Parts: sequence; C-alpha cells; structure tokens
Amino acid sequence: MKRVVKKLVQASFLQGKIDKDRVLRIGNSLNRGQLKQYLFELKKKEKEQILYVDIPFNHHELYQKELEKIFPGKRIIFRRDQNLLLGIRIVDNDNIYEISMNKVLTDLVDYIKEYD
Amino acid sequence: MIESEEIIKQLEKRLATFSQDQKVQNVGFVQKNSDGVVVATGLSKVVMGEIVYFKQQETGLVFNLDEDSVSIILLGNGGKIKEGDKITRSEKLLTINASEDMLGRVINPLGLPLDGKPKPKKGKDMPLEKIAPGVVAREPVDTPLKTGIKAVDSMIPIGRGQRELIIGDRALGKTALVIDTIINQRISFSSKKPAKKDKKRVICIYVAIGQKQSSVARLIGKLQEEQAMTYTIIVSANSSDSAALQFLAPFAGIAIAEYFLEKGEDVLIVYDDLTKHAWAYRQLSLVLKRPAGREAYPGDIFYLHSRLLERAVKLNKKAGGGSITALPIIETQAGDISAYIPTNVISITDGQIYLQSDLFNIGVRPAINVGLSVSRVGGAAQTPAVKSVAGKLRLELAQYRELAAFAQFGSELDPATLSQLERGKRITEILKQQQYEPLSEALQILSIWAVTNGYLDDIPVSEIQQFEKEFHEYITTHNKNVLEELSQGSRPAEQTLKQMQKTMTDFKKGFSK
Repeated sequence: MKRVVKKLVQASFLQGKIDKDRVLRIGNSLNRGQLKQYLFELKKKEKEQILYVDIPFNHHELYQKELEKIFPGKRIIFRRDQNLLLGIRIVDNDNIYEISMNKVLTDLVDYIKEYD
Repeated sequence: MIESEEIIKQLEKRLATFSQDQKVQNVGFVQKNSDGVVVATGLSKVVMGEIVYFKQQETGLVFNLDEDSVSIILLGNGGKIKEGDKITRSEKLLTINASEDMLGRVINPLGLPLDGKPKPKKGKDMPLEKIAPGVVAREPVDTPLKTGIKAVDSMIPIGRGQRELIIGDRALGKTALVIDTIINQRISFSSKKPAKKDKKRVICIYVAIGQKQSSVARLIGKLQEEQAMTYTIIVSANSSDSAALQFLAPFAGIAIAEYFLEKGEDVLIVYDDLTKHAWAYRQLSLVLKRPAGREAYPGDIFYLHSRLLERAVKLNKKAGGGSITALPIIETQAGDISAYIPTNVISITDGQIYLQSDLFNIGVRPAINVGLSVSRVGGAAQTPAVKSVAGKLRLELAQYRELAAFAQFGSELDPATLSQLERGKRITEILKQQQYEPLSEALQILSIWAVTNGYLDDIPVSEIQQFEKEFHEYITTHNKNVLEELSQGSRPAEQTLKQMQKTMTDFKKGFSK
C-alpha cells in the first residue's frame, strides 16, 4: 500500500508543482486511512522541493539567483527572522545550513554550560 | 565562596578554547510520541545508537532506522514532546562519564546522582555499547574471588573474570548471596601492603534493574553499615523508571567497570536481575513493532545478554591485567530452569548457583542445590589450601543424598551407611550460614576440615552451628598463627595440621562440659 501511495504522490505533481485537480481526484478515491497516508507523503514530497531561506532583513534578487544556482530545481521561499541578528539560515528538507550571530552566541552558552 | 575574579578567569580560559565547526545540521521532526518511543521524520543522516536532543532539554536514543522514519527511545519523561517538535543530532553515541569519585555513590544509568549528593567529578566518557575484548587479550581464570560463603567457596568456586549465574525463585536469597560477596571484599581493602593476586582489591558494582526503591534503599543501608559502600557503586533503574533506563542500566554498569578495568583493577559486577532486563527489552521491542518470537521476546534477546556478559573478562598482563567478574541473577518461576531466558543465560555463563525453595523451607540457607550448581572454572579458582579440604566435600554430599532417599523407608541400615548419613547431616549443617556473616578463608577451611575429618561426628546436629561459632572464637584467641598460616593460601603443612588437631581436641574437652 505504501508503494502505491508513493506512486500516487508522484502522479500528483505537474511540472514540479502540486496539481490541485489531480490531488482532488486521487483524494476522493481513497479511504480514510489511505488518505491520511497520502497527505503525509504529499507534504513530505512538497517539503523536499522547497528551500526555506531565513534572513534578518528583506531579501535581494541577487540572493535568489545565487541560491537557484546552488540548489537547482527547488522552490525558494524567503522568510524574515530577526532572531538571527546577522547571517543566514537555509533549510533544505532535513538539512539546516546556518551561519548566524544567534547560533554563535547559543553555541557559546552551551559550551560554557558544559564546563565543569 | 569563589571570587568574581576567579570566575572571570575560568570563563576566559574556557572561551579561549571555543571553536565552531560550520557543520550542516541534520534535523528531524516528531511525528508520534507514545509509550516512551518517539517516531520522527527526517534525520536522514542519523546512525544507530546515536543520542538526539529535543527542544525541551530531553534526550533520546536512536533505536530503529526505518525507510521513512526513525524510532527514538526517550531517556527522560518526554511528556512535553509534541508532534512537530524539532530533533537535533548530537553525532555522539551513548556514553557514561566514569571516575574514581563514583565509588560510594548511587547513580542512574545516565550517570546522574540519586543519593542527593553533587554530580561525581568528571572522568572519562565510557561507551555503553562496546565490543568485548578478543581472545588474544584474555588469559585463563586462575585467581579466586572469595564470596565468604562456605558452600560456594568450597564446592562452586568463583574466579576473577568468570561469569557465574545465580538462579532461583523469588525470595530465596539470591540478592543476599551477592550482598555477602560484596561485604566480603572489605578484606581486600583493609590491607595497606601491596597485595598478592588473590588479595588484590575488588571494586564492586551493583546494578539494580526494575527493583523496588525500598529494596535498593535497604541494600544501601546494609552496605553502609558494613562499611562496604566505600568501594561499591550502585547503578539503579527502579521499577518506576522507564523501560529505556532499565534496558540501559546493565550497560552503564559494565561501562563503569571497564573504566576501572583499564586501570588494571579487579571489578565485581552484579546484575540484579536480568529477567527484568529482558522484560524491559521486550517492552521496547514490542512498542517499536519489532517481530515477536518465543514468549513475545524479540529475536535478538540472546544477543542482548551474550554481548553484555562477554564483557566480563580476565585480561593478560600485556592488556592491563585487570578483571571483571560478573554475577548475573535470574529469577525463575516455580523453579523452572528450562524456561527461555534462564536457559539462554545458563548457556552463556561459566556456571550457575541454583537456589531451591525446598531447601530454603527446611532451613538450609543459603539454599544452594549443590547437585545442580556448577562452576566451570572449578579448582583453578581455588587456593591449594581450600582445595585440600574441599575435595571430598562434594562427593560426600552426593553420597549422602543418594542414601537419604533410602533412609526414609525406615529399613534397618548397616553401621557404615548410618555413619555416612550422620556425616552428611553434619556437612549440610556446617554449610548453613547466617546472612551478612561472610567467613574468611581460614575459618572456612577450619570448618570444612573439622567436618570431613570426623571431628563433629560426636556432636549433635542441632549443636553444630553453636560448636562452629565457639570454635572459631576459640582458635582466634588461642591459636591465631594457625589462621595466619591458612590464610596464606598454600596447602597446610604437617605442623599446621597437627596444631589444628591439638586445638580441636582442647576445644572439644571444654565444649562437652
């Protein structure tokens, strides 16, 4: 059943984006349990195709182009997060690339806490 | 009171060593949290047995790597972990920080103190899971570990580096046996002179798995009373702790033991008990939906105990010369030693001490069934002194058991048979011992020598215990050099034997009156 659901998820995408009609058509033909699994896999697949970029200020088009070169085939979503203070955080599915003032300070605090 | 300047100096010293690796963080997200297990998505780079951190200062241990998810067993409460929470990798396997400061302490399997005192000083991080030393690093077991219990030291001797299983039903004295063994190691700490091999100090580790907290508290109280806590570490995962902690407890214990082993020390580790350890592992495996086998245990239940017990070792001099002796305890139901877990552990260990309820009920305590108990190391773990007197003991007891079956028919018996029966009764009586009264090797030798050479044949069975006690006091005050000679470990010389005979004769005159 898992394999079938994964195939259905693959079929739900059109040119790299979720196709609403296809999702509705597939969703209507599944039972409750299967639908739950289908939605879970769909969200997972979508997450794999999105790149979240957190920066503490408004983004510039230049970043978009550079990131598209490094992460081809991904849809880039910029988010403003002033907690970073300075720097950037890129979330690529379950990998996080972060160079920020916030992380340096947090790591510093953790490092001192370990000291006995 | 540390001055502020001192604090600033320490901070500056710490900060000077700070460096940051710009590593990619591989994270996961909680999908499900139930029964002490978290199922997470993501964590595509995590390894088996790795520690992971949750947002709420909780830690977990990766236990299952599935195609689309990772199963993590929680090492804490986990009540505040909710769906969607972020999980980060530590890139470290589970370790416990071991140090000399742990002696006399009560800790949990994660190394946190349970005795209300500050955390033990930092030592070395020891991995909980480790491959046992290979064949080349080992040497044969040839040094006795003295339990102080006559029946064990004479007929089922335990050597340093051996695994001896203690098996029996509930409340038959399994824990009492190990407590006496731990208390008896006090002698090895009392001498300040460099000790011979068999008198080298033995550090004790008691691992309580799934026990009642009251039982553990009582045990600690007793060890403190007998001044045995100074060289003992208690690792406790009580029945109210999670299955994960109960599963990890023996591994934490052996990791601490290996810390001392690396320093060339001799260590005694007690697992009380592995039945509850198997139950905890079964619970985890069932929650993780691993296939259930016989009695619902997972397929690798044998491997669980074999890899734990294989870490008990006697290292050769080149590898450090230390040893770890393991005394695992298994609780049977209705005396059934042919059940799954007992047979597993019997086949792993180097012998077993079988406690029987019938013997316990008729007053034979420790209730050791000598016929079913065995030590596969045997005489190699006995000093020549003990070997010289204990050699006939097992045989005489076996003959007595055979004859006792006939005697109950009430038929007339010849004098030789009668005397053998009487001798057997006296041997059984002399092997009885009070709890918390381990005997030194010299006194054990005297007792066994007395009974096997017929000196107790004319003493009524009901007075044997009293006779033995008074004889020990007598020889300690009147002929202490005999005890010193016997405690050397060598076969008693003719002169010593004559002194023992004379002392016995003199004492018996006074005892009869």
